[in-house]
Amino acid sequence: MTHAAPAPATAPNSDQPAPEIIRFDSVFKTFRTRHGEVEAVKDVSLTILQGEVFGVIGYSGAGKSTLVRLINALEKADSGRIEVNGQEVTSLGERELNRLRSGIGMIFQQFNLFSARTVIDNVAYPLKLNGKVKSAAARHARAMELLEFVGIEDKAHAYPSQLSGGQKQRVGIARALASSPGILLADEATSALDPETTRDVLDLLGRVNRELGVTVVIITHSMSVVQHICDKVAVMEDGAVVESGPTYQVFAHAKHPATRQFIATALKDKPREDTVARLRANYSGRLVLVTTGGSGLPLGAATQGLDVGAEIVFGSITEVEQQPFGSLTIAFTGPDVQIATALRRLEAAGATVAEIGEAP
Amino acid sequence: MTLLLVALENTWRDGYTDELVKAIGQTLLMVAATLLVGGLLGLVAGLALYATRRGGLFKNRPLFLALNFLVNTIRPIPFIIFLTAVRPLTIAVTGHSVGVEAAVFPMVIVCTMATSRLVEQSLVGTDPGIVEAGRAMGASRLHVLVFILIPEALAPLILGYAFLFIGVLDMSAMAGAIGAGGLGTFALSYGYNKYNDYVTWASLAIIIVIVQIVQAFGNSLARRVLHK
Repeated sequence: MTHAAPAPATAPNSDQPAPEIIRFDSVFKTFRTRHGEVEAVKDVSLTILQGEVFGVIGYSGAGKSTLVRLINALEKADSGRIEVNGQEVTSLGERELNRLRSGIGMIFQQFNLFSARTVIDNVAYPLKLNGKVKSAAARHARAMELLEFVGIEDKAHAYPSQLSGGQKQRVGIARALASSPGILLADEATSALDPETTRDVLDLLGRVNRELGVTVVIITHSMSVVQHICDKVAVMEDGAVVESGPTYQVFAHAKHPATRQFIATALKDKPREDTVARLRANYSGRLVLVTTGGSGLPLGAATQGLDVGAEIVFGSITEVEQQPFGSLTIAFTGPDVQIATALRRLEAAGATVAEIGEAP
Repeated sequence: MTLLLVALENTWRDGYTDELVKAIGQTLLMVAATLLVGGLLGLVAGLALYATRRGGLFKNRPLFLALNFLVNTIRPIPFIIFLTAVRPLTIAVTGHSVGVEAAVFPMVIVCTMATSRLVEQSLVGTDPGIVEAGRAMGASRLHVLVFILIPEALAPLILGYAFLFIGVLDMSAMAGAIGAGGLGTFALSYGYNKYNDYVTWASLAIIIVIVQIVQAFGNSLARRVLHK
């Protein structure tokens, strides 16, 4: 796998900032349909750095699929600039576009494998297409390496219809990597897969990013996908990017309602109103929502030496960008002054506390 | 089945065997020539119909509408009428007004129209995601159309062509009306006109055998290329 892709020019977390690989500058795209115009992409400006795993999240119809298709010019922008590898995409002719596209891999929700060709012929196809590898044997050897990389070399001579969804997506990834692209576009690549297979495929995309240095752009409607793999995320709503930044930062300081909604559905850590009412009825004491701030919640240290009971009644803590993230709802019992001390200690450890209220 | 064998036996006894063999040859010649030329032209026309439609690889509304109109106009005309109606054009192109050449010309035209629809339908049935995958790889539009989509649609295409064979066989029988020979002429002149039903049934027996063979071949070939 040594020549699978150009070596990572700059690791994402080294001192030198990685160079830009994709750049959107005030990009607009409108579709004219029989039911009127749809502004799929509205004034989007964003920058993706080499070596990043960049997530674009939004509900269906938010414009994220269009946005990603602007990168390899499967869709043409109406206005604005799009640069890929420093090359202005919007002005390229058909021939140059085809060359650009062969340097950008793409995988799809429905896999889009060629059903008439075997797995290995699917993977070798981009090589046949760009004509760089002349002999069929050499193409097959390269395809076999890729199938080994994605872990389904035993299915090389099967047809796509004989594979499971997860296996199909592995073939899709191998095929997308065949021409050693610097960028991999993943369009809802895990949306048709079950949760366990989703994790496997996301882990594989992570390996593609780390081991091959491929910049990965992931389109998804699932915040858990972003949470699992993305360094940075852009949240889209109605064609516009409403919030973007490093994943942890966006999770921790979500401002836009759409972002909060996504986080809430991914984590399910904060009790909804009906749950709060039930908790109040069932637990005495004060209900406090404690949210992480970059590290875990030191509950033991917070209550040490105090005559305070702290019972966790709701919540979830998970990992975002390898940092603990989430919130717990805790029922505190004991003297008010001592509870206040415990809460101050939690805040000192970086947590955010918010009273949900005292039991009636 | 027995009846058809009896018919063949009677045809042999009545001394029409040579005529029958000759008729089979003429029919197969007409059908093969028509399928070869019309099938290829129809493939091109069908690709054009598919590619120029709304949202197609080579979206071109005027061309699509023109092709669509042409196919819709010619295809439903009863072949026996079309055959006679295009006579001036047939003479201009082939130099004959009767015979095999004169029959093959209108057959090719109708076969092209029918094939174009079959090809169009087979391609419309393919997954649009395949086109997108090909384009995303950097394949040109023409490459996607010819080298990616046709293999994807191969099974329905094969079945379509087998179906087409029967339509062309049908046309060839009517070509007997302009002296093209073949099984149609054989059945009419030695059977129907001479009140010899056995001879008519003999040509029927031959046609059934030919159609069964072709359809069975088409089915098995389609099954072999279908990996769905």
